[in-house]
Amino acid sequence: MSAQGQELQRQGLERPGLQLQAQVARSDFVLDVHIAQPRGRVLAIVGPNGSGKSSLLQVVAGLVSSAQGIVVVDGDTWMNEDTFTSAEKRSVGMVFQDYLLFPHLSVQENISFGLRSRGSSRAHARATTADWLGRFGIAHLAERKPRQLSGGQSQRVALARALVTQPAVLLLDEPLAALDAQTRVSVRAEMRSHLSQFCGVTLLVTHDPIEAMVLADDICVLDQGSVVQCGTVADVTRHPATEYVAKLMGLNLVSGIATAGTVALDSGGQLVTTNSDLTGAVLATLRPSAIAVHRQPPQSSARNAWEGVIRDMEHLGDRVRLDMEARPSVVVDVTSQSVVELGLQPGQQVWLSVKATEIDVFKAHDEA
Amino acid sequence: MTTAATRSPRRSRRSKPPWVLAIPAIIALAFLLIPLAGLLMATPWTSVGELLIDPVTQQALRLSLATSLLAAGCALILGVPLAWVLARVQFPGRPLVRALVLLPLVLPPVVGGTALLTALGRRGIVGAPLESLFGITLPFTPAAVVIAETFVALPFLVLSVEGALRAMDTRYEEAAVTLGASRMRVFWRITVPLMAPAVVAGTTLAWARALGEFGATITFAGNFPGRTQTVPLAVYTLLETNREAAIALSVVLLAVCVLVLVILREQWLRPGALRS
Repeated sequence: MSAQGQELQRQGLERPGLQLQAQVARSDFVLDVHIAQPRGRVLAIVGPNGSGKSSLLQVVAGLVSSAQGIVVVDGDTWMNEDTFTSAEKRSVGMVFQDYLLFPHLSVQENISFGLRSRGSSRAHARATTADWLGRFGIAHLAERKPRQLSGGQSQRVALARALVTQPAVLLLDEPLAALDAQTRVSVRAEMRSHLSQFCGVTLLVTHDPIEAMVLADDICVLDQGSVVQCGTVADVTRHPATEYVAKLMGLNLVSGIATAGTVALDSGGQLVTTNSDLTGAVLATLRPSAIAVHRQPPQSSARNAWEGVIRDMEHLGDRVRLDMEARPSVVVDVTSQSVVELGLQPGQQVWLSVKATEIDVFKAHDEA
Repeated sequence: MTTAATRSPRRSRRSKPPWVLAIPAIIALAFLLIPLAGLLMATPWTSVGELLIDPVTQQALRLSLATSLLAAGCALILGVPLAWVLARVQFPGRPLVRALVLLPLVLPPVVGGTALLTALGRRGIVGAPLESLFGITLPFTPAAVVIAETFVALPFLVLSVEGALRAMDTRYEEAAVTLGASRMRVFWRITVPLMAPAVVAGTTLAWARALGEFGATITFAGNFPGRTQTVPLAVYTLLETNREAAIALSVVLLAVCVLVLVILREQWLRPGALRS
């Protein structure tokens, strides 16, 4: 075993969580990844289609035996050069992009399948399943077959089926990709609250940065077969390592409480939005390029204007990303030309503005 | 106005096919249906009951039912594993094996019968040791009827089940594995139920083919009333001596075939269900 492998195993045996080192051969490159994720945190693996994200999940689940690498979960070695724990013996829960609910089994039978497979008695499986059906608000669907479910309902069943065995690792493979835009927002909010209660390691594979920002604590960005950047959501957004990451994570996400179209932000400050229907805890996204920078208090029609200090500046191709210390703190993309015209530099005090129509607001969690 | 004017000729063009296609299509349909109508018109409906309780037809019906069910059973037991191997196991020469399995579909049944006779006959490569070691002679016995029917029916079942196994999303099985299911549990709880409709369709199809088998049966098993004379053989024989009885038996076979089509309506007639 290599020195790196030994080190990884030593760490894995000491720390609860997931240690993953894998080489996955793709058609034109080899994906080489090293991930260490503690329990109770959600790691989003973000990358373009074909970057090998889903293959990583299959390595952890044990569904591919051809891959090389090391998988250690909570001190148990699932894979290294000498061992390979077969898939059915690994404590994982997996949600597939198209859910793969067993079409011939009812919702209840789908959810209890994992419990029965892992040796629960019929009575125990039934009771536990009933508990989870209630927790997911799908008790009334218990006897339905998957073909009688809507997309959102199928997604809930798939997540419940994966969580019911209380796995050490939860693997989510583009879990919201099959939903229409409207359902996605509500299911995403619901999923966020379920994930926050899960105490194992969660790996979320997605190509959607909003999904990653809303659901995950940490982000790992893949490009061209390797990890470009790994860190907390805030870190990666604020300090993108490459232009690619900046483009991908080109979003500011803030949380707050909405009342009649105005969101009082948790971090201080407020935002006026065009959505007056939402009340309660919400999340809002602002594109860095939608935020304008001014030297003087803006006279424009933008409904939101606030003052802040430029903490840092970073050149990303033809754009410059400003890291703003403000209420709310955001990243702002401006052209190099504006930087010159406005004479922007770190430490400088400037005004920011954004139109209410440029802000996307959605519920932070489902209260129903 | 403009939209209506441009839309209406397009619609009429779609609903009225050109006569170069319509006329042959109508002829084809008539070609298929007129013989059946002729059969039904010639049927002595008042005496069908009497004709069917005649000992010769009774024997033929009983023998046909028993042998065809046995043949369908043999096809099921042997065909599902073969289909599974063809669909799921990678081995060299697989396309060749598949082609050989499907050969009886296109082979003239009389050739199949001759082949069975030469292989399983008293001097055949399998028949000779069978007789010398166990004293078993197969040709011209009811067992030969079952063998001949299985020979022609098996490919139908294999084709149907293999197609379903290929079309089946193996990721359902993967999902079951991630939920901790053992190989056997995955097979019985996931694979078998998912391919059940295709197995039912394939078995029904195989049974219908076995029931109508003529060429291989008469060549390998002969035409002995009460022993190897199945309904199709009886129809052929009765045409010489008792035409009305032959017609009555034919109508019985026709009714069974219609029933099979009804059973298969969901599985077999759905586009893509038999994809291989």
